Amino acid sequence: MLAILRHTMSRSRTAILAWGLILAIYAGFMVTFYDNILEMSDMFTELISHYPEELVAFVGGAEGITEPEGYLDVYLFSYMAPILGIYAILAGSGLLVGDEERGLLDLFISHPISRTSLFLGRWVGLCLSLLLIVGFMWVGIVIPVGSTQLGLGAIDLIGPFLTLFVFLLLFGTLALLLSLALPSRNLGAAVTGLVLGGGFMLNVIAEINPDLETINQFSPFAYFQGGKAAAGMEWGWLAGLIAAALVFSLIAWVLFQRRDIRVVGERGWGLPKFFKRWNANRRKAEAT
Amino acid sequence: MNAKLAIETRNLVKNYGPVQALRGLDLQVREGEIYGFLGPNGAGKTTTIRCLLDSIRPNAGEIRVLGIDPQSDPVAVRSRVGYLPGELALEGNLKAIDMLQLLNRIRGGQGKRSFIHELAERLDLDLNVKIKNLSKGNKQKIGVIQAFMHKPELLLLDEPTAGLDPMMQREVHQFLSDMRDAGATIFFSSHVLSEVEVIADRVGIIRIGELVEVAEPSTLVQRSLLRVEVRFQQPVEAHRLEQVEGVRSLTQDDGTVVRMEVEGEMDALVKALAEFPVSRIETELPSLEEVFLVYYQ
Repeated sequence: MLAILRHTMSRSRTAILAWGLILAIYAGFMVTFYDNILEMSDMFTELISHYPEELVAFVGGAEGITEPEGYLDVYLFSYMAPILGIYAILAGSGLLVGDEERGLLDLFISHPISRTSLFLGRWVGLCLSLLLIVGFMWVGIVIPVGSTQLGLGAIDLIGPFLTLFVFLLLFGTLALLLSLALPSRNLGAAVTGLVLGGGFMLNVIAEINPDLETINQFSPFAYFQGGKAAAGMEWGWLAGLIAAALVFSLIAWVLFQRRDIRVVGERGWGLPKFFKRWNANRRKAEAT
Repeated sequence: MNAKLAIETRNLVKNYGPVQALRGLDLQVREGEIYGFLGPNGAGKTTTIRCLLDSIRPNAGEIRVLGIDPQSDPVAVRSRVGYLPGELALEGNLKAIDMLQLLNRIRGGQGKRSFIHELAERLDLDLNVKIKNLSKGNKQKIGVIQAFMHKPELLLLDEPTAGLDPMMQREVHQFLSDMRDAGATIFFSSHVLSEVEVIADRVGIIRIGELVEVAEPSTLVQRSLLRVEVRFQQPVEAHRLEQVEGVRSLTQDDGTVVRMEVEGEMDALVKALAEFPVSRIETELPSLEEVFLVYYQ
């Protein structure tokens, strides 16, 4: 398992460094702006009050924007979740099925390693890579935060980043599960991406349309605290997200145990037949 | 199941949806032999090998590899087996040595570093080059090394010489002979009859998921058709050769060139040709498909 974990981390290091460092610099940069926002809080509140409510909802709401947790939420966490969610989806969907589609899994699985060890090595690698990226961001904020009026310390900032990590893990494991359940990695990633994008939009629209609140309760975004976690953790929400991620992982493990490992060229990994048939019919109709 | 068999399958069935890849395969590979597994593309060669390694699970039937059921204890089987996939995939960004060390770590360090370098030297492979910069043949050499590096008791090789030049093919054949001499069993698939003829002790022919023949290579070739072209010094009445035992499909171009197919021994034909002013005789080994034609006539 350690050899697989080491390999997972080794091949992810460029992505971890790129995502982690860029987002750490960006996060640190955003924090230094807080004092300016605070100085212009009256003007800023006035300005936001003239924004269309859809726009305000899109950036995570204007509620408490001059408060440290509200500022962090609006300017960092509200859109960092979907952006980093893309990384989590790509990493999760490629974790096993990516290797399988490249033919590498066939080689690895022919060595004396159990499927459980292989799965765990990859899974722990996914967790660590997400943790490292989020950790880089945390460091990026902790370094300049003392020189600002944000008033939050390193410990206070752990909560928001913990919720971000768990949220990313949820989407990473969902992508892992769907990549194993659907015919290809791309399809697994695409469906998870739809859940991510759809959940984000639903959460935004639900802010201005209370009728959607019931449906929004099924979206992971409804349980993502982000910056607001700095003011107090919703431990029940966090536990729910962790439980969902673990359930997804468990189902993925079961699917992997039962799976026939495929090799390149053995079988088609395209869209299911009914999609192909529909596509062929559509082309035929277009041609005539 | 027989303890003296390195590989034994009984009534092995594997379906991919509606496609039956293996239809009750009964296979017996003795300990210490080189067994060539011949069949055209899609016959079930790769499926068989991957069932032996528990990469895929059969729908029915029994398997024993070195006396172990791969589904019950796949790790025990794989620790004693070396495998070369037919479609070898490697991490392009790694150097050859790093890839081999990665695989050796997954193997729990069974392979010795000195032996890895020895194998690389024999195959003339620079281990410090990134895999993405290697030719297909050199990548295949990495595959060969990783399969051999821990000196396994059983080698499962799916088209082991694909992509290698003739010199390296000979080197791999020599490896296989050396391993057999050291007591290992070698099970390899191929669709090149000449390769099987050179190194295999026994050959099994698989067709549409069923084992249709097990024989020694020489027997197999004898049973197959041989294409023969005879050039004469002057035009001859060659139609008499049609009467010779084993000769069929005889054609004559301009009286000096005669082409025919010969089934079985050449002895009768050679004796018959003694009556003619022969300039040159060319023979061509049959393709695998032609061997199959004999089996299915």
